[in-house]
Amino acid sequence: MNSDKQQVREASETEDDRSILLDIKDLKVHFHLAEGILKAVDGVNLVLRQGETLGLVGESGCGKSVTAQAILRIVPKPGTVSGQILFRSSGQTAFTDIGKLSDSCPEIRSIRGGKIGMIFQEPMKAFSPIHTIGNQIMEALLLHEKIDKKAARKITLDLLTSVGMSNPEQRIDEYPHQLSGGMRQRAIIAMALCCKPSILIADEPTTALDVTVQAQVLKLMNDLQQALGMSMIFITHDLGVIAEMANNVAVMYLGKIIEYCDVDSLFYEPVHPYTQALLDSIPAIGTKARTRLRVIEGSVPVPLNTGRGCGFYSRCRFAIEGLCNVEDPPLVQIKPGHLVMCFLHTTQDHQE
Amino acid sequence: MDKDILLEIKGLKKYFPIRTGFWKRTSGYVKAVDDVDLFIRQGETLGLVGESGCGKTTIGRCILKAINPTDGSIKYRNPDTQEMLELAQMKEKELWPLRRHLQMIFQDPYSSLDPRMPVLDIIGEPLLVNGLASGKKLADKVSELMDMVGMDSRYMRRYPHAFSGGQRQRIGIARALATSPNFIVCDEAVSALDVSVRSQILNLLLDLQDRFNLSYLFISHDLSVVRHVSHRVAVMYVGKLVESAQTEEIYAAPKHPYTEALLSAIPVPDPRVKMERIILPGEVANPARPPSGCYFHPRCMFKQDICVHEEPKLREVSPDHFVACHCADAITLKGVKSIEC
Repeated sequence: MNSDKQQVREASETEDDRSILLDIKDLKVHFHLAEGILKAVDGVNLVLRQGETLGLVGESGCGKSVTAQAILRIVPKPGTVSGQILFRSSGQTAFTDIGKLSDSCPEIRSIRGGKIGMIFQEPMKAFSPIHTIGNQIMEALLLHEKIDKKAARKITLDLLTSVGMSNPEQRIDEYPHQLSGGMRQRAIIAMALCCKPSILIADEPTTALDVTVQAQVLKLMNDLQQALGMSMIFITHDLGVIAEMANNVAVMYLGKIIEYCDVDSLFYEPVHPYTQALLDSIPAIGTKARTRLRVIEGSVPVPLNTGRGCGFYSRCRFAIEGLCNVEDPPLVQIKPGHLVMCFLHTTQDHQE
Repeated sequence: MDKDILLEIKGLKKYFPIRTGFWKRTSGYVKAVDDVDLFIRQGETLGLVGESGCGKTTIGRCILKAINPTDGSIKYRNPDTQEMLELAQMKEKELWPLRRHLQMIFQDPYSSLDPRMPVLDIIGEPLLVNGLASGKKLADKVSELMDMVGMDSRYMRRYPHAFSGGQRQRIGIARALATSPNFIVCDEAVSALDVSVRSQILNLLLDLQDRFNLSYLFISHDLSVVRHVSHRVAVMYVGKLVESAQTEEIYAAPKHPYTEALLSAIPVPDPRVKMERIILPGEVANPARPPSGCYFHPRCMFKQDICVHEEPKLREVSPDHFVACHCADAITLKGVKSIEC
């Protein structure tokens, strides 16, 4: 099992050495509660390259948001973060291990909002209601860049224009509640991008938006990514959005990445039973109306005091008793760039 | 009137007054629902789609008489006498015995259940209030309802916090079914649920419909879900009904530019499909100060002079396909293809 992981790691290290911006090894986020240990993230390995959009997919409780929080060291107490989070900006050579930094040291504060930007699902929650949006964007600029207020205001106006905000001269002095949902989300994007980050982490950025506004915001994010050469980690449960935005996808379940592959393979050659079941259960716009959807029985268990064995065992159609519920499934390489954590594929030739 | 029609709405209006100033003078109205015609047959699901603020939830509430319409008619077929009754301005006393036939399932499974009531009381309350059952008979009926929605009836003495989102939604559905209604408003009933749970609940709603010949008004902004459960779909924009038709027809061949834009905006879960997306300029119109003529004209690429000055009336352009657009006959719009399974 470990040799597989190492193999993949070494291959990428030699080939794409310079393009790797984020290299996460064995990330764990555990919450020590009175009831026991909640393993929100339990051994995640990820690599993000320059210009790449990595989709992080999963349902509530799978650990995708906590993974993002861990990268930025904003995991709420009593969570503990362990593992290696190597980060460097595009153009840099040396990595910083974010995993070794404390939550509020100057180093992480310069990365957070500066070299790594983040946008959240609820725009209202991200903004202070008592400051104008101009003020808030300028605050980020003044914190990370060595410029004066006048220059910051000019940059902010340009930013608001580039995110498609109408009347930027008026909007810059408006409060968040005066803007519609779509406008707020654009303002958030402006704030996240103001310091030209190398990586943008977007956690369900369009889930709360109407479908036509979502279309506008997704197009904006794609355009900006092209223009800035930025990498993105796009977190969502919406597979339609993933199909549109992601180059590679990691599917998470109960704190682990159970499948990792390029976006085309995810939809056309999914291998893990959970991934397959997830794809089967969505009422895609092309399926025949009023047919019964294939369901995944049961619901996602809480990752409290979990022992060995596959987290998906209780809901898996192909579960092998005595194996899947006893041993941790290995990470297997189906083909270069396609990994799955499942006993069904340990013999390299997989059945369909 | 078609003997199958259960509910018929004509000219429905709901205006909310805007009160400003110290004297709370009415300075204008938010026209949440503005002159809407709809009908639903027995055993049918009408999908009602539109974006935030289009008035779809308000219509649901008007039908249930949770709020009183400003104007218009809501005719409902009394299941006992089969005669059509006018609900719009009906007095509460007359309305009360009918309320048990019209129920609602809410969006948020977390705020729609009283956290201080056990499941038995939540599902049993409608039975108690309507004098349909009490005591042991009530507990039996609740047990039956829980089975019906796929829940273990041994949990009936537990409180909502003990259940997951999907299970809570099942409790909400059981509660809606308690009085054996024939019409249920599903207001974004699956939007707050995870993808895998969503499919379970959708299947449940379809099964219950088949079993009890229920009619649903399925309100949602999620067009893939709506397509999956609806026989017919109606599209709303800023309080106006802009198009309605059979489900397959409206998705394959929409006749209103807004419908076309809505359909093209849906992200397709297929990376090989490159959607030619129609990105609508500007923002959704303000229902307190809607544009002149056709409310959609400022964002419409087919806009003509007449669209700016004259409001288009809803008219039948092909059998069972209604659209409110001056240019419907002249333009050809793109729909979403259906994949044969």
